[in-house]
Amino acid sequence: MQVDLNFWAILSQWPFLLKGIAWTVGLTAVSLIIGFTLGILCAWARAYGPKGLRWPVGAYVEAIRNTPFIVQLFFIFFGLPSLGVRLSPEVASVIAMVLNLGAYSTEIIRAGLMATPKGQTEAGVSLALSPVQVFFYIVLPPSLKRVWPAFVSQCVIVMLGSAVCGQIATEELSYAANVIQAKNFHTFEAYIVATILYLLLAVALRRLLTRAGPRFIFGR
Amino acid sequence: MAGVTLRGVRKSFGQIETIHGIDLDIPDGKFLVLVGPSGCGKSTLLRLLAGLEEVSSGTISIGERDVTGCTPAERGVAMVFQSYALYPHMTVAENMSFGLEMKKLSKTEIQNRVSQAAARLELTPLLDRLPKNLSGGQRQRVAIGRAIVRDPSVFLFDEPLSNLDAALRVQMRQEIAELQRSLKVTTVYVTHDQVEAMTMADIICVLRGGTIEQVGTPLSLYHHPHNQFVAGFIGTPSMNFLDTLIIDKTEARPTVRLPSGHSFSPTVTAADARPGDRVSLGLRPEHLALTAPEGAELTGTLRTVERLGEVHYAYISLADGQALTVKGSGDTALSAGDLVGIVLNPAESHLFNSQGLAWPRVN
Repeated sequence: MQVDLNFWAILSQWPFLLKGIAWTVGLTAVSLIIGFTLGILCAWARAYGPKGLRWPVGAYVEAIRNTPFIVQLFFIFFGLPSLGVRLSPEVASVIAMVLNLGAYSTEIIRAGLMATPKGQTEAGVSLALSPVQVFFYIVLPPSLKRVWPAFVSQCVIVMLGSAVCGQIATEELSYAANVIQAKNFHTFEAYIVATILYLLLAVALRRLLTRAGPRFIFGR
Repeated sequence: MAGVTLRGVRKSFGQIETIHGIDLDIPDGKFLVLVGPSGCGKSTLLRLLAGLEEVSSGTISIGERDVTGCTPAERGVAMVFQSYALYPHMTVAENMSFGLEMKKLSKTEIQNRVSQAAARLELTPLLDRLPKNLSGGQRQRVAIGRAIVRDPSVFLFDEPLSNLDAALRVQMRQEIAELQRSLKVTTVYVTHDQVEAMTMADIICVLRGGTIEQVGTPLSLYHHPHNQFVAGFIGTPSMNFLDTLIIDKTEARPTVRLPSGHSFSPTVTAADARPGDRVSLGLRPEHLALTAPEGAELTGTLRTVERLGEVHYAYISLADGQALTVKGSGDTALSAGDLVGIVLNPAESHLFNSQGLAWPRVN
């Protein structure tokens, strides 16, 4: 059996691929920023928050971590309309990715917070700092430094997980590859190209976040 | 600057009370050391002073101000922790200036305070380093510097030297004491090491089980302990205690029968002592001397000798099984198994009643 590979049939559709990459990067960027913020707030709530806040945050984290991402996505896109909430595929995708990353990063960041020596918190308090200042200036930066590799890995997983969003017609990279192969039937080539592009995006994201952490997030 | 006053201070964790109604006055500018065995409540008491724990009852005043209900920020105290608690993501300079920046002090003021503290603590060349690149002693200095720049009314030290090696501990002990003398800031220092307490303190407060056993100058605690616990806790090696019996009393001065059967009259006033009372005779190792066994007040068998060069410690078993330690200068020709005599000094002996309370010494 002879296999005749024609990658040009895929690469000639570069505007479509580029649009897919742009959507994947855009979805990931928005989800990372909001999801990271959500993770910090929920980690604070679980580690230091009042009891009334710990339980609902814990329930949210466990619900997300113990259900598949595709089910979460379908619930938001197909389930919420029955409650009168209609969302575009893109908005539904962002919400699903934010909630997913938020839950996983909550536990990652919380692990870092719990590893912070009590003395550092008390040193901050005895230096006349407010609880908010102690958390954001003293506890959080070294905590993030401790867990940054795990958080970066989770971000990459979320970015790769965005491929599922094509299932609800969000025009990200896997959706673009799917549409291209449906047009010209070069399925193998389409998914090889998509795989390589995802690999490049994942490596780029990992490098970017690994460098950005010490530079902008938690210092040296 | 300000003195510190504690009145009826109690602290409970749930049903368990760990501090039992403490009254303590720390004069302005003095260096007070809280000392006692593990679990005696000294760190808890320090945390109550810092405001890191809430007082269950009683009051704490700094200067004329009642700070019992105040947050740590409002108390004007600065604490140096056992673990140093430096911020790993900040340089030495940032560690020292951070609290001041949060207080919104001017950059010039912050720079002045940091550079002065750094110069005083010999940290100037290290200002751009991160804590991970510092030695234990340097980290300790940074922690002290961070406290100094705040210009507090009271310094609080929680076993700050326990993580350092022996030689560095001696050096830092001197540095902290000198620093306190020059700053003249009221200082409360927690340690379980009574050598630290003796060498650094103006006043020592000995704690046991959440209560104060005795407060006084290092030498007053050494020469005039109130009870057997303080007597045994202060001094290295610790005081020897012999179970004895009062056999006579002349004008409030008792005579006891030693385990050897000899009689001995310590220089103490014991008005309420009665012949037949079981008492404990306290003898410091440095106030005993070894002699030939013939005619000695006490005799025993030498178990071991520790030779330290400038001094030696002889560990002796008496015939009735009681043990004694004798501290002698230089070396000794004696070896394990030798029979030795022990010379007692009546003027340097202590006597404790059956409750462990000391009768006052005459000298």
